Amino acid sequence: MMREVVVVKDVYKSYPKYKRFHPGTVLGQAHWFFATLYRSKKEGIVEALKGVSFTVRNGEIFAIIGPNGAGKTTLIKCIGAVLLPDRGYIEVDGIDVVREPLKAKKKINIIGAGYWAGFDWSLTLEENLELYAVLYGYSPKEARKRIREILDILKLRDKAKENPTKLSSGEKQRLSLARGFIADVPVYLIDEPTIGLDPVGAREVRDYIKRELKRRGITIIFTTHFMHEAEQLADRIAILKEGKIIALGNPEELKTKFDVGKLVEFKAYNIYEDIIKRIKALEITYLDVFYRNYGAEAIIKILTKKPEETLDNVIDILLNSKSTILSVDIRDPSLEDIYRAIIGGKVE
Amino acid sequence: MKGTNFLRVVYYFIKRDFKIWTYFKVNFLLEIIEIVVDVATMAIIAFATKDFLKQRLQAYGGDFFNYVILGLVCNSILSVALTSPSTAIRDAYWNRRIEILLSAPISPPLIITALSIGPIIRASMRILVYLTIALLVGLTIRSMTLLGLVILIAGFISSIGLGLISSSMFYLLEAKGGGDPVEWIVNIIARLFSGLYYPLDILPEWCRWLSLLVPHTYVFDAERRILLGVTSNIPTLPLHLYSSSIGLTPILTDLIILTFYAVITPPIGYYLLKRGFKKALRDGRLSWWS
Amino acid sequence: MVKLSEYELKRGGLKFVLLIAIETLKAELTKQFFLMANFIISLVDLIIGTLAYFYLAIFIGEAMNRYITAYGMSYAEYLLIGILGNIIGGFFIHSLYEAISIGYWSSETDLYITSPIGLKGMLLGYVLLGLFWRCITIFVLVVSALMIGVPLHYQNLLQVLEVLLVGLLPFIGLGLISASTFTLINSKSGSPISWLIEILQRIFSGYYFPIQLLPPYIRLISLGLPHTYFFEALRLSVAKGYWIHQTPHLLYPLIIQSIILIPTGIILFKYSIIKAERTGDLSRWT
Repeated sequence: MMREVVVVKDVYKSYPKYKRFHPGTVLGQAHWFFATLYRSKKEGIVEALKGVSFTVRNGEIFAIIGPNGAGKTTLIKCIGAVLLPDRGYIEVDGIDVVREPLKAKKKINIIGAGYWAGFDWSLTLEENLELYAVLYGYSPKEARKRIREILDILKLRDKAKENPTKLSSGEKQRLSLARGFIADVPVYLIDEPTIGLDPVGAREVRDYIKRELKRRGITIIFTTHFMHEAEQLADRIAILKEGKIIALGNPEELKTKFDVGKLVEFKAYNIYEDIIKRIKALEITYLDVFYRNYGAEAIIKILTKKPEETLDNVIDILLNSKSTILSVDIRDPSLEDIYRAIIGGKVE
Repeated sequence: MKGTNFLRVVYYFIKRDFKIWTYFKVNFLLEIIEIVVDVATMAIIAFATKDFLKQRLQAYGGDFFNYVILGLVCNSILSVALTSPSTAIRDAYWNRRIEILLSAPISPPLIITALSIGPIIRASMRILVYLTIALLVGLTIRSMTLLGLVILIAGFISSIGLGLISSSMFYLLEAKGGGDPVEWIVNIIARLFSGLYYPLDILPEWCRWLSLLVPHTYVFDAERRILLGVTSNIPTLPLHLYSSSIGLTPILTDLIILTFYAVITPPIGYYLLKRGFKKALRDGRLSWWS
Repeated sequence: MVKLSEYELKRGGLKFVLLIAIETLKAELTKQFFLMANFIISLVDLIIGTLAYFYLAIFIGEAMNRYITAYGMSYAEYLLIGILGNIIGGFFIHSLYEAISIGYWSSETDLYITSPIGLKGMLLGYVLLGLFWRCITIFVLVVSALMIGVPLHYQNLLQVLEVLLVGLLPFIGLGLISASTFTLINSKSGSPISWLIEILQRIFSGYYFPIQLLPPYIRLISLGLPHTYFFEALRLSVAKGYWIHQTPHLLYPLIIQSIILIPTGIILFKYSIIKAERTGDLSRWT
């Protein structure tokens, strides 16, 4: 059995909302003088993580997926020791992250989505990366060699002597990744690895993670909005919603975990709002509508535990509304469909 | 994962700072011109007012140029010590760099130290240029004893301590929008009440007591006496009147106070800075984007 | 291809530009006054800085007075006029560059460039902001001077106005030249031209002391700076009531400098905008 390299147990994190005076008062605006005195009066709290627990095995690629505000970035930052949880236990390679953050940081590196913004624009890419390499203990010679390797992999070698401001957005995101991958650590925490990248660039990054890092036995925890990316890359996926993990397992397990029924898919013309309302009134798990051709054509995806009955009912509705049905399909739902249903709140 | 070599980190931060500083070659040249002009301006004023101010500056040898240049040089040293820790944090925060730096296996106070050393070295180079030009124009340094160096170091350490306290306000009091109360108050007193441009006897009596609150006052007073080789122990600060009654010379009095500052302020500053970072880590307000 | 400026004029004309300028000014003032404590602290800082200057003036005043008898004023007032003249002249030199810089670094130029509005309104708004803060500074300076008992002359305001109207013309040219450096030589961290002028005028223009204290060959540099004539004219008008047209040795150099600097400034500024449109230098993120 592979050893557990990351252990997260009952982690809670909330952000306090402090009382603020109305901006119209001098006292309110002078609060940076008196903030400590008035801090204790809380207006409320925002609970970002509510008892999150999971483990990640050595060499595993672990995805955390969830909607905006689910707590993904908070969780990554807690594991990466740049945010203190309120309570709970986090361990990386046997080191308690909360009690010994400096030791833990030798084992982890966080790669944030917009970290390219912290680069000095009066230095070249290479010069910027050299500084970060040195922070992680490389000698100058080792740093230069490592930087060349990483820039080659991320196809930034020809930009090595360029100023970071001259890069395209995709190149800037790759620069964030370059900064992160420079550190030779056993665990990478990556916040949205392919954001801002074109499809080719995104595929190359995924390939690098899947092939190269996996081959070297590096453990990766990454967050993403895209289930297809998680499904493609990850050995296991955790679905985070409102600070809680509501599902955890490999893609096959997740598919069977939730009994959402079958996916019934319609392609049709002339689908109006009232048709959608009538379909929603049926006994179904989840409904999604995608419009194409300026709204003329619609793809209706319905998750239902009674596929034949639903099929009959929807055909009746569409024919009575004088819509034109182009195609009908019944199949097993993809993980993406299940995920959307889970996040949309129709599935327990 | 290798251990981080702190000295190497410092070297790279200094290298980075110098690259940035010299990126704009014209600005670099203009800084030198500015120093030359400042020194020349003071020299001309001093030349014009030579005979009149001799009596007023008796306690410091009587020469206004020497008086003001030494004040400005010492002030530059103390200023950079005061401002570089908070500037380091503010710069890293607003340039979205702080989270990346703090995710590295190096403690926050060490990061701040590494970020502060570059500006201190840069300021030291400016001060050297300043002194060189001043010496060419007519600054007369009569002696430089070990005591002078000790006082300067004590003043520098005191200012670093105040600088750490000042930088801790960034997270402790959320003073992110601009200056913090510590730096602000110290700067006000230093500019107006510490004897930087003029002796304290031209100020109202109550103002002179305010001068005792900042290390600048003692550094200016002691360094002027030592470097200008002044042997008359004319009291210039309110405290000197009391200390002379117990047999302490003005220089010794300044040294004792500065030692007290140097012992007290750095540990307080370090403690508050650590608390500030801990608060930021807890509240999730370490970086602009959290 | 329609240039930005032509499009904007077609869009709504001067009225529209003024509207945007006022909205920009209002938004900035709201932001800055939102943190009222910071505003109060800035004011206190200003007062402290002023008091430091004036105490220095008092300290060396007795000695300096013998060099400024021709002006009929105390050294503190002499210095105050230098400072005020520098602030007013500085407004014309720095404000346009500052406006472009603020717009660029806050990414507002991106916003206006990609909209039909163009940059004129935003620039004017920030220039007015600069004017507002300089007026506050001047007010604080004068009040601080009165607080510590510096005797001031008030009588000759019309003469002062004439000096301002004529004397500031070369500064307009310098301001345009300074602003053009933002894109012409890509100086985004401060205009080297305005910085150099700022440094030189401290010693060569009679700011702290009359230029007669400088060695004769050095005074040649003073003759090239409009500040020299401007400060001199201001001081003579304030204390002695001289009209600038009564002092041709001050009037003619200022006019000659305006004739050279204003057209040069206009040409360079226009070219800098054309260059920016071609290279995208005014857009931070492209």
